[in-house]
Amino acid sequence: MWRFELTLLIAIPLYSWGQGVPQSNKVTSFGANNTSAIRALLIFSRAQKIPLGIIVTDQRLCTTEVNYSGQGDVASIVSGVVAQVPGYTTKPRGETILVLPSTLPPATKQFLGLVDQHFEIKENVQTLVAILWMHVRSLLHPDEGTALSVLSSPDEKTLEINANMESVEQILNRIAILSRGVWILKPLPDSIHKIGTETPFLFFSELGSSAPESANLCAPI
Amino acid sequence: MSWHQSVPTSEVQDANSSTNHQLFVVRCPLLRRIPVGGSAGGGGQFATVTGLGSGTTAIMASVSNPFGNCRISPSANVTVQVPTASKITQTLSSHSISKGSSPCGAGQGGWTRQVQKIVTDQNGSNIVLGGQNLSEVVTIGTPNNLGINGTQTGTAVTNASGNFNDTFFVCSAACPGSSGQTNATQKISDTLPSGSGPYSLSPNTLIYKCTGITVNGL
Repeated sequence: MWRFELTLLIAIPLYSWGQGVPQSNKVTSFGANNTSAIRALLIFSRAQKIPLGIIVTDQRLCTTEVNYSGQGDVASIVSGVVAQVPGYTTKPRGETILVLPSTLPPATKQFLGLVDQHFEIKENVQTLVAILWMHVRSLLHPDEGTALSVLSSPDEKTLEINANMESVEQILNRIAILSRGVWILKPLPDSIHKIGTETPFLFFSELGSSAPESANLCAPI
Repeated sequence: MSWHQSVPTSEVQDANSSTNHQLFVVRCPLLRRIPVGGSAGGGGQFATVTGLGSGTTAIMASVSNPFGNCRISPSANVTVQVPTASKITQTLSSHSISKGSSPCGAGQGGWTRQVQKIVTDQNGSNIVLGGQNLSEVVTIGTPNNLGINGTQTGTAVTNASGNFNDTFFVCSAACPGSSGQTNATQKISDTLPSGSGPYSLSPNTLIYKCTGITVNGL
């Protein structure tokens, strides 16, 4: 279960176009008052079960407090929140809405574009994210091994992904869509080869999270 | 009406008073489980039981529900359970991962094992309590023949039976050929549903090999 401190939250689905219509077209309302932009996005995604990808390259998403009140489709609400953060924008990626800076640092672009030959896993969200990081590490540091010990609840739902030659961003989006959750990429160093052992991406969803809710979401790795 | 039995299910240390507060569950004749409390050697209405440490303590408790009033017999003895360690209750799966096969990345092979565990008390008895929040820290030690330079961990909430899962993987370019091993220490912290804790459970010794993963030698 994930909870966030919320100053004000109103997220009521008003009307759905029905099956087959992308979630981003769902009409709803949302209110946030003096809440950091990234927390507001997480709260909105959780309430509406909207898959989001948030690329953090600096502190602005955490330090900018937003005020928002309105209704519309979820894409316009996300855009309305992000528009209050200088230098950030949104882009649709299939069923996922990406929140990203207008200018993407080269290392971030390179990291998200890393291609995994084969990612075939059926696990809970925590373990999926841990294994994805293990795969990325094998690309960045092929001579270094990784050990996992992932505690989980026996009742956690498992998700199945079978991806071939897909990028890190595509796999993160797949997990977000399946779990109706949010992935967050933390600020990276200026070279992907300087990335150490700390997982650079976090994941939050109703089905499980890869980090505590109190984690500093904008801290560089 | 009278209680069929009292079942202590959790105990927390109060850092301020150095006494123990215990939440437990008792069962009415109609088999409705109702969380209640009592006080050691005392009686009356309660939210918590107060004892003087782990072991046994005498309690009295009463509670009302829509089915009537229930009462624990005076001076009923209950065991105060302190989260102390964890143990494997069963292995759910255990198998090798061939080189380049998922879930290992390109050029690496290894082993995976999934086990079910339960938290145990100071006497080695199972703590059958849902809602315990568990987190862990894994530290790589020596030897480290598999060249491990990164660990991944998770968090869990126990189910109604007190169980949680632990999934282990090791992926290394040294596998499957190496006969070496990497030792690690797993420290699990347990926070009870009441919010008390965290209790640091006895550390587990993990041994990762290309041919298996053991916890405390098992």
